[in-house]
Amino acid sequence: MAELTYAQNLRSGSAAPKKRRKKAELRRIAVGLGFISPWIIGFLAFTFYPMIASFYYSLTTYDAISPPHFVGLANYRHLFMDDSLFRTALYNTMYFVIIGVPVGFVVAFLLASLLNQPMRGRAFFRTVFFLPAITPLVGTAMVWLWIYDPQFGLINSFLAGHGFKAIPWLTSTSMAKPAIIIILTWAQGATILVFLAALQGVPQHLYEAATIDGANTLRRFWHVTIPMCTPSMLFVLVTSLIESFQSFTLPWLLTQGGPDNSTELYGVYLYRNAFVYFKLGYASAMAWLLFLIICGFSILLMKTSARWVYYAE
Amino acid sequence: MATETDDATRQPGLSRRAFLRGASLAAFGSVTAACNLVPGQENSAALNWWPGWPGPYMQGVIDKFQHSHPRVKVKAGLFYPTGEKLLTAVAAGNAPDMVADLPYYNFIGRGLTVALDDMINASNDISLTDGDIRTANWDAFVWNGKHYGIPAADTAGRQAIGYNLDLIEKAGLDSNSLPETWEQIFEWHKHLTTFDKAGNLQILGIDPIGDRAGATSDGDTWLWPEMWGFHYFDHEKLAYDIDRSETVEFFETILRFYDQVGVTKMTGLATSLGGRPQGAFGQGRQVMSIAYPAGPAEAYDADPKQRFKFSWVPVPASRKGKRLQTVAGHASLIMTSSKHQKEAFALAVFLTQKEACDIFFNNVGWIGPRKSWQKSLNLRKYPEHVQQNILFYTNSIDEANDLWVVDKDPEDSFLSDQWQQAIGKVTHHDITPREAARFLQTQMTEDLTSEKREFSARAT
Repeated sequence: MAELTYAQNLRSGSAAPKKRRKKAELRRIAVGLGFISPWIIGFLAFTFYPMIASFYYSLTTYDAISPPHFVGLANYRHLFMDDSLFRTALYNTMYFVIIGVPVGFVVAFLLASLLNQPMRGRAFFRTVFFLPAITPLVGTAMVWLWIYDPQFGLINSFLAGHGFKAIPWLTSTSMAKPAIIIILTWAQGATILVFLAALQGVPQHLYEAATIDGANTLRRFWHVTIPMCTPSMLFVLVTSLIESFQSFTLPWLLTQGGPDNSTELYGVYLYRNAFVYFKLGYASAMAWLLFLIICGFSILLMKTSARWVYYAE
Repeated sequence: MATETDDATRQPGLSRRAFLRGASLAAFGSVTAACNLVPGQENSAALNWWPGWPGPYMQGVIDKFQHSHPRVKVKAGLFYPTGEKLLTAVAAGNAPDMVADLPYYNFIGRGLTVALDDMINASNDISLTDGDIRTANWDAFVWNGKHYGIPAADTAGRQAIGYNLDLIEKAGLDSNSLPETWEQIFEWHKHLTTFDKAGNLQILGIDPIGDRAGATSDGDTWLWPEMWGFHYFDHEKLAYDIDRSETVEFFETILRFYDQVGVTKMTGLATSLGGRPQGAFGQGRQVMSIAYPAGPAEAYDADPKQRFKFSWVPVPASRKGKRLQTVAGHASLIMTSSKHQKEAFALAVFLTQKEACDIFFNNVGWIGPRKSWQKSLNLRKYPEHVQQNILFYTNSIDEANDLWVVDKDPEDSFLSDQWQQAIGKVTHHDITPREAARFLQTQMTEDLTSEKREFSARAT
């Protein structure tokens, strides 16, 4: 009888079991939320609220000391219409993204391919190439400051000692950006690691099939290795793009935006506005604009990924 | 759920509940201890001081002060970059009690520091009127008729040009007939600057905006308007007056030096060797430098073998004969948020006194603000020429015929940055000196208006 009632209940969709299921479901959700609540609270307090607050501040003039004054879109208007240094910073940042990201990407992939070859001392070389990734940026900057030093640097003292003119690595407007890109390219350890993992995940039988079909090394690399690594390439491209747009530490430590604003990147100019000029409202507007730019580029990359990223079944 | 049976059978020992209770009590105890609420210590004051001056000698100053003020516990935070860190601390509501070495008027002008007149007038240890600290030193920190700073370190004359006597004599120039104008300095500079066969810079005459000459804030005046004889900022109207022929002239002067050497070589030397006396000047690679007041002692400590002479800074030919000196230097400011203003004031006064000034001078060569202390300076450890150089800084305030007190500009950190921008653009020939003067005027004026800056009161 009880079974019949249960079956009847199931058929008729009676409210009691549904309610019980719902209750159990709610309890499960509550427990789940309870477990992740530290993260939720952290996210709300330290990410979500600052984001919303910064959007409000972007519509104000605010020096962090006096109360903010609402000015509507004046900060955004000023950025586009009046601020020539903003345009310079945007140009410099785009230079870093358009030149720096592809150069770093290609170098990292080629190095990863080399480090994937069977050879003596492979573990040693892998460690050597990964080391820059775990070196603090401040330390990296100090070492490169010495390498690039115009008077006593590793490169210039060699040149001067042999009767050549010194290269003004960080003191010339035309050399400063490439000089920083060289450092960023050198510090590709983490990217090399991602590519190395991707390369090791390429199934061996694909190479064997290609070899049987008569493909030489270059063709195997082009038609097997690269397509199989494209998901990792997409990941690296997106993260590198975001990192490049947000670059701050190296240019700030090496050149402080100089010479003549040639390394004044978006992040540097944003920091300067916020903490040197006391213009937190303006800096917030810059931050939101950067957020939108990064979103735009990331979406573009994700949209085009369907054409070139291959996900193996 | 625990039952009676469970409770009855539970073994004696630390239950979960007891553990949690104990842990809570321990945590509460730790928090209250950290908040300095331990009974018996209610009368002590923990003073948070951000002097901005790094160095192990600071602990010596603190120890001496605490010895005479056992109730006060001083914690010194060394906080470069000063302005940025103080701004964030103020915004976060955890500003220190007392600060120094920062863009002073950025914070005085915004009403974040305390007017000290009442405390000074009530004090037996310091006076506005007894003349021991020069009126000009006090005036450097007057805003709206009130005193906001107790002069502390580096408060002698701020400006002097240093000459490396060995390099001058080696080049066949007469060290008894030093240049007085920028035109004469340029002739010396051309004569003294040397390159190797490949064109690399060997010895630099002078970087006209190196060291002090490049500064506009953090205790220093903007020297270039003063050398050309005008105030760039009107305290009464809170208005800038930069777009003028004198500004164009001094940008042209700077450009002449940079064009002669080449901008990348000029900045390259400063990058390699720095701008302080220990830098290119102190290391015998630069012959002349507009140097820090601590210059003579610092340069001697860096290399005792080299001989320097410090003298009046050059002026344009149109102002020949002016013996220019400026007053500002560093002062102790007490934050309005401080709960220990009385104790902070005691420390600020202590920094003007012999015990503290001796430590500063003996370690870094900084000159304290009291005339009585300056007269008692024991310079015997230095050779004669270094003694003369130190005395130049202490006496030149009284001997100057062109004395300037810092322009009280509440946007001086912004000015400092824009000045560097303008120099970069001019020396790279992106803009002309005329455009640079206009650029600075526009930038500073727009900053005041577009940011709707509200300053607590106008200077008088």
